[in-house]
Amino acid sequence: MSQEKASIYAKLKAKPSVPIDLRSLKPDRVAGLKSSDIKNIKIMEGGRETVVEEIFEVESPAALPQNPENIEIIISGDGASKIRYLGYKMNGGRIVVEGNIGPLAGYKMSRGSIVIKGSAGNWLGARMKGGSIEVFGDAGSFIGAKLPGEKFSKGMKDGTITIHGSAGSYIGLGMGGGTIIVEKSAGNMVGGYMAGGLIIVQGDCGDFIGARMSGGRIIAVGRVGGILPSFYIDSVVGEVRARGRIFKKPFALFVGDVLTPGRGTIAVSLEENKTVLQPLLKLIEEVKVP
Amino acid sequence: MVDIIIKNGFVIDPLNNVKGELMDVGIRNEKIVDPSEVRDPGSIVIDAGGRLVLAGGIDIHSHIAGPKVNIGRLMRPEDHYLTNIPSKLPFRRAMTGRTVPNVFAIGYKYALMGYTLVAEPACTPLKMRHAHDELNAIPIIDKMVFVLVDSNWLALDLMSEKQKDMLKTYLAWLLYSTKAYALKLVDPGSDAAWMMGRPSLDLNDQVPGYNLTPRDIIQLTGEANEALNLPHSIHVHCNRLGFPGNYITTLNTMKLGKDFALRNRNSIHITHVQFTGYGGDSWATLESGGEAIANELNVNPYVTLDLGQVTFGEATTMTADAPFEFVLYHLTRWKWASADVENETASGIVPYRYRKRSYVNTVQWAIGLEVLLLSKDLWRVFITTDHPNAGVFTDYPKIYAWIMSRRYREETLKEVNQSALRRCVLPSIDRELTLYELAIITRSAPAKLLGLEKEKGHLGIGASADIAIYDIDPRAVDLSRDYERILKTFSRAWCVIKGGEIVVKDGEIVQTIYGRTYSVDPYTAIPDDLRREFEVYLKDRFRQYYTVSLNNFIIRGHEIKKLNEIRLKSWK
Repeated sequence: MSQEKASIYAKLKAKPSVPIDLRSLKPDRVAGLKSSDIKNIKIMEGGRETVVEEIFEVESPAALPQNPENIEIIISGDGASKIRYLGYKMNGGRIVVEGNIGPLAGYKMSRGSIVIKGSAGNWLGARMKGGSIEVFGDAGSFIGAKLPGEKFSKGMKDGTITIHGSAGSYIGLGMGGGTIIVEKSAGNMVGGYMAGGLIIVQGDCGDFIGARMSGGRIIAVGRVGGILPSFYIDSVVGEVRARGRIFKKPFALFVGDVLTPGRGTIAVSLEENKTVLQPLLKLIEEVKVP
Repeated sequence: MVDIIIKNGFVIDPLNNVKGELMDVGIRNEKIVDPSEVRDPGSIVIDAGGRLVLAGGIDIHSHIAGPKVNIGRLMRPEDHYLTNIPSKLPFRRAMTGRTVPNVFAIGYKYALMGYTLVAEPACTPLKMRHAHDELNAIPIIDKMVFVLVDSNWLALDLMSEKQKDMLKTYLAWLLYSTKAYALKLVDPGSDAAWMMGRPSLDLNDQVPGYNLTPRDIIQLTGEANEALNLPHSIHVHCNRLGFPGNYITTLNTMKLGKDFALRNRNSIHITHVQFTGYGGDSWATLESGGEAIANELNVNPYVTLDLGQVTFGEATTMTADAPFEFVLYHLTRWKWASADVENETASGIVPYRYRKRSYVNTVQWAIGLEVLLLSKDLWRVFITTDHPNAGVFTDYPKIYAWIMSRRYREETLKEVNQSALRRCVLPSIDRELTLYELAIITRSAPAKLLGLEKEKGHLGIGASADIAIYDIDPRAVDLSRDYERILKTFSRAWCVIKGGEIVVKDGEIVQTIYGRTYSVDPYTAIPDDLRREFEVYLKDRFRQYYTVSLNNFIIRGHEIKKLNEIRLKSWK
């Protein structure tokens, strides 16, 4: 068995006008196949069933290794944001997107990594069980979330999602574990219904941060829209560390959400949020042990 | 329409006393004819080659249409994720959903299993137009809908005033004006109590605001049903459904059938008896009451039952028994939809998952099978899962395997909760049903119960050409040992013919056609003077109670795609 890495280059022939369901083009699906087999993998173009060859120009070695860990799929071309379900239930290997990608990338993935050089759509890494996703552009809403209607602990279970740009709303909705790092700002409802895991937002957050959270940890390094009244302030700390990242400035720690009743924590930066936190800081001064 | 002839089929047809013979079946103009008539070269020949040929299956209780199914779809988006099966035009349209599938999936999946007639068992009169619109959209199968009358203020008024003739006329008018097929009682009187904020009622409790008990409601509706000579008996969902110890109430309800029987047939149908067959006095001490119910069934010829068999897995409970759904919501603590329909009924929907390891769910599973396996007269007991309350209808092959193969039962007995089995008699039952008996409980007996034994449920001359052919030769396979074969064969029929058209071939839908909607019209048979008196009474009361006008309430024949209205003649 060869241990060589194999790369498959798939380039869109033309800009697609309808959504493309690419759930079957993933490393563990193509492992051990011949290059002609890859071209004939069935995918959906809109409501129509077609094959990879019809839509992509595929370049691949004649035979692929048995181990999906050695396989890399590189997707490029104009209009890749029409592609959805990329890396669905992916179990090993690596997918690189040289551009933007559509919704539901990494849905239910359990191992391997996805790298997106452009931006990602909604539901990135939804119900993810492991592996890693890295996005160099921005991402949409519902990152690492559960899908509507599902139970609250059905969101992301494990793994890491790193977004170097900013993200939309509802990040980590119903998240049960794993890590989401947003290096710029995020929208409303960060960590809503969260039951475990870690969310770091290095930019600003919107409103309702940690609403109905019952566990887990949120770190808001920038400004927040406000703190819900169902959180109580615990203490003020000088620095916060998480996953090798150190934020050296004072943070206020909150515990909640008491409506669930939960034991989640939110760390909110003091300097950026003076107006929001001023009335709350008085509370901890009163009980401060001399 | 081209004639069809099925050659060399191994036919089982209990209504015509055919216990498995190699026969030919001829089809012409949607009817079964003598095979010697179909000889011209233009006809389609299907060589069954010894395969099993049965009449189309009949499901007498399956929630397939109406507002509560639709609200179930709305509140359970997670039921539809990753279930989409794209369309294959022009043969079939797209299917989606598991426990609350879309209309096309309902029609196609029933047809794939060989079922051709399905009854939607509960719809409130005001929402009946919606139910019919959904039934119109369900492909292939024939369908019918039962109308809810148990907490209807107009009916309760007439009952408490003891105006029996007017009550009969009202119920006849209700069936006619909603194009329904039978009368359904859901937890009689409880919804009237629920809408006033009271808990559910037992058989002898007072219905608040009326001088009535649930016992009177069943009695009076049953009398009216028999006097109107309706083809189906009253369809009763018993009081105290879903509470431990409720099998006593069920036994008492079963005994009521004797009091109002007028005809030489059964007079009361107890539905999804599994939910009303619990012994014990709390969830922790739950026991099976299946044996007691089966014993009562064996000595009481007025009763028919259907199972509501638990099949383990995802389910969506939806019923007009709103107080019970309120209780269930507090057990599951996830989501709940509740709706009241003005002065007619209330309803609730709660998703639920049946687990093999659960004590309660194992007892529930055992009750259904015990009732069926301990009953002596299989013409009075029917397989249902009360879809989607106790399981989905696509799990019917599992139930066939459990009742036909002791070996499969034992496999499942190993996986379920062992302490629950000590409270059930199921492990000691050896009985295995034969294919002939299966044909009785899924084909012939339901047709007889619905009063359609002339045209449905058999393969005699003059019957509708609804035929299911399964890829199995009963002479060559021992089904009690080879239960995997039962699961495989009955989930995908080899060929299904509906109304003289081939709709399923090799387990694939090959054509989308639309079946008929059955309804009854007992109103035309009622004497003119009584009808005139009733219409004056109704106009006044209807304006008093309803927010819609009487003209908008009545459903006309042209609103239904293919109406098959059965006009009843006699009136006692």
